[in-house]
Order: sequence, then structure tokens, then C-alpha cells
Amino acid sequence: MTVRSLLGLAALNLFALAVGAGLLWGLRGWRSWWELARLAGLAYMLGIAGLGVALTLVLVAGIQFSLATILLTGMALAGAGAAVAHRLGRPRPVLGTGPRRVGLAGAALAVLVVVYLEALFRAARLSGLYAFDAWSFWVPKAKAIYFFGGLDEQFFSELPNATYPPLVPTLEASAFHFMGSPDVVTLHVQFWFFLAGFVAAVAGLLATRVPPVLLWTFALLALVSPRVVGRTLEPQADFTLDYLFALAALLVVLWLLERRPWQLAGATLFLGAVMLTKREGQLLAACVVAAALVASWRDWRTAWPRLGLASACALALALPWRAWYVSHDLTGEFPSSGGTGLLENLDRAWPSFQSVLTSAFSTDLWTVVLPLVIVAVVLAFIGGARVLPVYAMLVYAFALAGFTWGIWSFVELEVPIEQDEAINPVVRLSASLIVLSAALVPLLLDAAWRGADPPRRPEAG
Amino acid sequence: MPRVSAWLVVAVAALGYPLLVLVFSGPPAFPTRADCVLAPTGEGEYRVVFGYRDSELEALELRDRALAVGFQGTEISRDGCGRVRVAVDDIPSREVGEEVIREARTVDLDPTLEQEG
Repeated sequence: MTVRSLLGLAALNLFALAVGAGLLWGLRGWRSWWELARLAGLAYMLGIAGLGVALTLVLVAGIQFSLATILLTGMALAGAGAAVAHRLGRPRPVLGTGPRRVGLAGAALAVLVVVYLEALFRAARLSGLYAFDAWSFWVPKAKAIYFFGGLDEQFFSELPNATYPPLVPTLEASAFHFMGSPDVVTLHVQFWFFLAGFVAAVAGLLATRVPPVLLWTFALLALVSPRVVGRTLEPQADFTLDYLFALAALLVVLWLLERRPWQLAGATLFLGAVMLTKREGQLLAACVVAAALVASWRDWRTAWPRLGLASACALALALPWRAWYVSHDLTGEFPSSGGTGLLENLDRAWPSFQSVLTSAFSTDLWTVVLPLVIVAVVLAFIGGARVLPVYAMLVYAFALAGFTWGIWSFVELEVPIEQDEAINPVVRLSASLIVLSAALVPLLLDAAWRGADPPRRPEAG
Repeated sequence: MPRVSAWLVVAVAALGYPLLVLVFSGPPAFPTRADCVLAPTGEGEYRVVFGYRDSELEALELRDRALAVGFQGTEISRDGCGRVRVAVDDIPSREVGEEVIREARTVDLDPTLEQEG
């Protein structure tokens, strides 16, 4: 039973990698096969984001969801990428000169990350479905898509959080198809693939930009956070959202620094996927875009139209789902007191902010990640960098403000506000900032060491 | 440090960890659907299982067959391994269970005796 499921999941994720490689070929191409190996994690996450978005649109369009649908959709995405690459005349890649040099310290840290992931795999493949939200609605939605072949309005409306976007249930249903059954135990391995893919994507993007010691230190620091160790394998959308958000934010800042079109295009796909993963994805996407607009104000004439176009495209990917649930009378997307209701609950403002800060800086959850983020931002400023630390600071600040608004408007959570995760979503919200740190902090510290923003360089990947 | 050496360190660790796990913990377990079938142990109550099906529709057909020939109390339930079980629960003893099985075989049903979980 589980052997077949594991092989099926391996096949799905190899398929996602192939789809993502097609998208990456269209977005930027690669000069050598070693370069593709370095960017394999990014290709995989592009494939996951692309498949998630496309299959969500397929469901909204009412097309029968089946194994054939998944395969055809993936092939269409990869084919589109290949067509774009052909049109742009991308040169054939050469073999290349082999992997980059990694020092002993970097190798030792990379070893720890690899062994950590291997150990997590052992936990994933025999995990039971214990997480409340997972068995309450995430996995039931996935089973409904798997068994009914589409979005069943009645079933979705009866489950909690009916308006939550279906990207993760769609991917879970895809996993069920490849596994040949709704194996909710082996399903946890799919979330191990998401984590491993995220780590590989960040490593691949930063390998040519920061020293290996910085890269692997902060990857490891984020990975060993108690919350990550304990919850990252749960078949829910929380950490998936965080990975997609962090990759979008990373690609946007790389674009701000290097202005390679493919970086903004890749970020657009991830932003669309973020908004189709959870409701708070819209907030996180807005934080990334707003921070980028402010950080690029010096050359707003060239940057702002491009950021606007990227935002519009990402929004266009997310709108069909919104149209579907509005047309099917599903409600509850926004908190009832999120607008003018805030003024009626001014006494909640400070406690909400305190709740957010308490969670974000909790050493029980995240060790010392966020304090180190603050140190990294300050050092980057002192070192002379500007665009990078301004962007990073604003992403975190806007996100903390957004989370405060979310808790403030969640009037069912009474003052004094408890940190109990069962009733307060702030812990799940703050995870996104920790995951983001694994991507941004190495860049910040490298900028502090260099004494400037990372230079615009010839295509370094 | 030569370029290849550092990567070799990573590769050795990546292979070494699972090898150590195999050495000290033995081969990994791969649960099968058979693990959800509990053999009679003599403690507690039993169930007479008429069969397992992959879908509730198929299980209902078998249940209806069993009910039609007089096995009152036959119900369907999920077995926890992705299958649907068709069974009579709460059999008080092994002897009663075996008697039920003998009767079922006279009407072309082939149930088995299992322990209730």
C-alpha cells in the first residue's frame, strides 16, 4: 500500500519538476545543465505553483478533474514554456564546468540540512492525520475533488472556511490520483517535497550571490525552529503559503537589484499561487508589492509600471476562484469588522499588535530568527545598502501591520487576546516571516559585508 | 579544499544517514492493507467480515446480499486502510463467530473471523 503510494508521489513530483523545467526554460533558459541542476529546486516550485494555479482554474471552469486532466494541464504548461523559449531563440545548453566550489564550513552546514530533511522524510511517510484543520476541511476538500472530480458546491459550503482557495486541496487531490487512493498517511510526504523543494529553490537562487556559510546557516536556523519541525508536514496550506510567499518576495527583491525580466515573471506566478493558497495570501502579496513600490521609488518610471503589470497578472490568476465562490453564494472571506468596524473596536488595536509581536518573537516557536532579521537589516543599512534593507524592512513591517489588522478585526477573539493557536491564528500568520527570513537574511548579511546593495551582475542565475 | 571534496562530504552524509538507520533500526516498515485486519486473539469481541471493497457502492451490494440471506446486523464501515468493510460486529465468542461463518458458507458467502479493534 504505502510502497505504491510513495512511488506514485515520486512520479507526481518528478512530473511537477518537468513542468517547472519547461516553465523555467521559457522564463530564462539555462546556459548549462549544471545550471539547471542548481536551479532544480526553483524549477520544481515553479511547477508546483504552475500546476496549482492551472488546476485551480480547471476546477473553476468545471472541467472534470482526473489523472488525464492533471497530465494534460502539466504538459500544456511545459509546452507553453518551451514555445516561449523557442520564440525567444534560447540557445542550447552545454554541459558546463561542474558544480560551484563549496568550502568545508558550507559543506558541513549543507550536510546538516540534508540529514535533517532525510530524518523528516522518515517522520512524514508514516504520519497520521492528526492536525485539526487538515482533517476538518483541507483533506476533505481534497477528497471531494478526488472523488467527485470537481468543486462540489454543497460539500464545500458545508465545510469550515468555504471561501479558502483550493490550490492546496487541488494538489492533494492530484497526489491522491498519482497514489491511486486517498492515502492520507503517505500524503504527508507531499508536504515534505514542498519543504525540500523550497530549501533547494532558495539554495539555488542564492548560491551564486551569497557565501555558502550564510546561506546554509539561515536555512538551518529556520528549519530547526520548533514550529517548523513540529508542523511543516501537516497536510494544510499554512507552510505551503509561506514557501510560495518567500519565493515571490525573494524573486521580487532580486528583480529590484538585478532587473532581469524572468525574476519578475517568476514572482508573478508565485504571487498568483500565494493568493490561491489561503485568504491571507492576498495580504502577503500586497505586502510584497507595496514594499517593492516604495523600495523602487527612485526609478519609479521604469519599475512601477512593471510592478503594476505583475500585480495585475497575479490578481487575474486569483479572480476566477473569487468569481466562483461569489456566484455560488459562499461567504466569509473577510472578517466582518475589518473595515469601519475597526473604529468601533479601538480597544483591540494595542492588544492585537502585542499578540502579533509576542508570536513573531516567541523563542518557543521560532528561536531567535526575527531578532536576527532586525540585526541583519540594521547591519545592511550600516554597510551602505539601501534598496535591499528598505525592501526587507517594509515587507516585515507591512506584514506585521497586516497581521495586527487581522487579529484586530477578528472580534470573536476577545480581549485579553489569548495566544492559544486553537483560537488565535497569529502563530500561523507569523510563520510566513520566519520562512521568508531563510531567503532574505543571507542577502542582507552579504550586503552588509560588501558595504552596498548586491551589484547588478551578468546573469548569475 | 578541492571542488569535488566538499560535495563528496555532502554525498557521503546523504547516503550515510539512511545506511546507519538501516544498520541500527533494521529495514523500514511499509504498512499494507493487511495491517488493518486484526487476527482473532481471544480477547474482547469479534466480528464476522463478509469482505472488503474499494468503494461504498460495492460494499453496499455485498451488505445487501448478506442481509437478504438473513445475516441481520450486517453493516459497512471504513477499515482505516482505504477500504470499506462489510461485517457483523459484536460477536461475543469465537464459537459463535465460527458458527456464523459455517452458516454463511452454505449460502455462497465466504466470511472470515477477525478481532474487533
